[in-house]
Amino acid sequence: MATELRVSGKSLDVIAEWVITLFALGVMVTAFTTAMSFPRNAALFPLAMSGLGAVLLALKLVRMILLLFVSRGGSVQSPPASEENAGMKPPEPSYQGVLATTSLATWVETLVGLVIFFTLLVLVGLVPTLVLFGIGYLMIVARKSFLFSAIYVSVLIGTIYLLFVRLLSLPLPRGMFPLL
Amino acid sequence: MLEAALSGLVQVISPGAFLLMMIGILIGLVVGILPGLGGPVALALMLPFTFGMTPIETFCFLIAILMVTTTAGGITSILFGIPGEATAAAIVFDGHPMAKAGEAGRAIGAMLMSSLLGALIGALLIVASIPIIRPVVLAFGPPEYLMLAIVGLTFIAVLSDGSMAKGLIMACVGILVSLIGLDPQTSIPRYTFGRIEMWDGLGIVPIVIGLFGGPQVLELMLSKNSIASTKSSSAVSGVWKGFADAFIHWKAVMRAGLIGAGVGVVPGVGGAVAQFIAYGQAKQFSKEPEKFGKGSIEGLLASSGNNNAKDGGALIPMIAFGLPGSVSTAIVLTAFLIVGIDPGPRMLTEYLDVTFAMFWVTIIANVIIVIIALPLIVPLSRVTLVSGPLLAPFLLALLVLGAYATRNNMFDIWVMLSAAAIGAICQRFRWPVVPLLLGLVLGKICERYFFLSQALFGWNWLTRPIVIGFIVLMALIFLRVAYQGWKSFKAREQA
Repeated sequence: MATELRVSGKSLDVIAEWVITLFALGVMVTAFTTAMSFPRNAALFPLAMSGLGAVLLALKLVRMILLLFVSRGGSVQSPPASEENAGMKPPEPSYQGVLATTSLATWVETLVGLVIFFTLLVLVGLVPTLVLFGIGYLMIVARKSFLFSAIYVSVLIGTIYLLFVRLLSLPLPRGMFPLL
Repeated sequence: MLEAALSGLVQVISPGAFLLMMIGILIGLVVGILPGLGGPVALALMLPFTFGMTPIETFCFLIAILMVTTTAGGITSILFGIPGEATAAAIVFDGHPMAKAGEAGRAIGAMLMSSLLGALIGALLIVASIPIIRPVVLAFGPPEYLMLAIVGLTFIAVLSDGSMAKGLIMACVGILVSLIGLDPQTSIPRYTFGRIEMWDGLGIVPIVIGLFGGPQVLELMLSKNSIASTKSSSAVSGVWKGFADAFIHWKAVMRAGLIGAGVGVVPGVGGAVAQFIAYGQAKQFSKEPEKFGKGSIEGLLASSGNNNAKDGGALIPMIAFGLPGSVSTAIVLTAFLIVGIDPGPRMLTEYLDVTFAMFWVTIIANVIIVIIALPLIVPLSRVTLVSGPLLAPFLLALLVLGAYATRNNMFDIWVMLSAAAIGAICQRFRWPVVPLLLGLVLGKICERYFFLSQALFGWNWLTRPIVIGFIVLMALIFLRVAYQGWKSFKAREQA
């Protein structure tokens, strides 16, 4: 089971490396072609940076393609042969942090929570968002009582209001349809 | 000179000035802890209150705020991985891993003591530089500023986490992002996609908060655990251990302080550069460079030791020439005009006591903040033991407010959110984010000073002595990196 997880994590890393490289290359090429329409001086740095970035990414892509062929060729002759084992580079330990080991269900739960938070923020502003999201999140995810959640959110909003609005005279994000 | 120094000290510790300094320290502590609100915001908000104050009282109040916001900015960097200011971003690299390892108290203690020692170095530099400052500052022009920024960029080689190609690509991305907005020469919008909000470029603060703080909050929400996985044996002894660390690694602190003060002296380069140069050189000189980014005490000391020294350094050109070295000192310069003092040569003769008073405030304010923070460190470090879901609403509010506070613009919240997504992807798939930030901070500076250098000197700027000195320095940095790479390659081969 653990081996399966590691294999799937490793293959995800490989796929992600391809996706990130190709995406970044696309961005660099787009930035380069866009910069060609700028006036000469305004275009110098954008062209240089996007050009350099595109060249580096293209070289990285070529290297990845070559390694793909090398590892395929190697796997026929001797299964463990790879870039690492060929002595070209030490094996890079795969990322074992929370972002890699969390289950899909928890990811979905967290991302849904974040989508709700930022949607509420855009629609009704920070204070109502903290009330609705804060109480809901604390009750559902942190499994706290309504009373505890309400006191927590009240103290948080009170502190923010005191520091930002009263002491520093700074506005809080109000959203498209501000309730407060 | 000694008489002026004593006169400055007596005026600073007079009841009125001291009380205002204490008020400034408390305001600085609160504002510094809040992400997104740094010294410039606090100073701008408090400037109107200086009307009617004496010059000494004004500078006691404002410089105390400036110094303490810089120091306090590191607290959230350590506890939550959310930088209190853009200049506290490098503190996250090693400060937050230490907090995760249950050493938040030690990390905050080390950060405070390192900041204090850095401030001392900056203040001493103010005094030492009084006789020689004029030729030093005048020797620096756009080509030298450009080279200083490029030296900052060379640290990509050190800060790429072992993948130079990825580091260079990320730096290119960072520089491209810094170029977003109206071109300063032609006023042509670049990469703005027709959005007026992007004409001023993307704010560094929302990007820094998102890039570093975003993934930390996401991790906390996903893991549902507390920030610290283990409880430190004694938080109180950890604080003293942190204080001691600053003295044990005094060379790293000293170098960071000198770098901070040196970069701070150069007007317009900005403090965000100094932290990366200090961090990069500390990694180069360290006997344990592999620990950097994983909770290295040397890394933390270097990234926090330069902060206050940089502010001290930035005061030098402002005092001597009226040239503000940063946004914060530009606001302090306004205070000069409010109290009716023209900065310049008279600050070194007629108003020498005021100059010395600034020197004393930079030291006394930092000593007081260490004393004030001492009883707060243990309760603050206990926050790292609170469960993730309980902290999540509070941290999400901090992220949003930090991004929003600088320009009061919802667009900045989206910038922060995008940066957070990029930061999380980079963390998960091992793409280094520090070079991106270096490119972001230095890209526009490089472009501005390149065109200024070209306009003033053509390509002859490359032959200026200080420029050549910087080129040699860069060559040495690359040679050292190459040598270290070769050494580790040989060690691997032998193993």
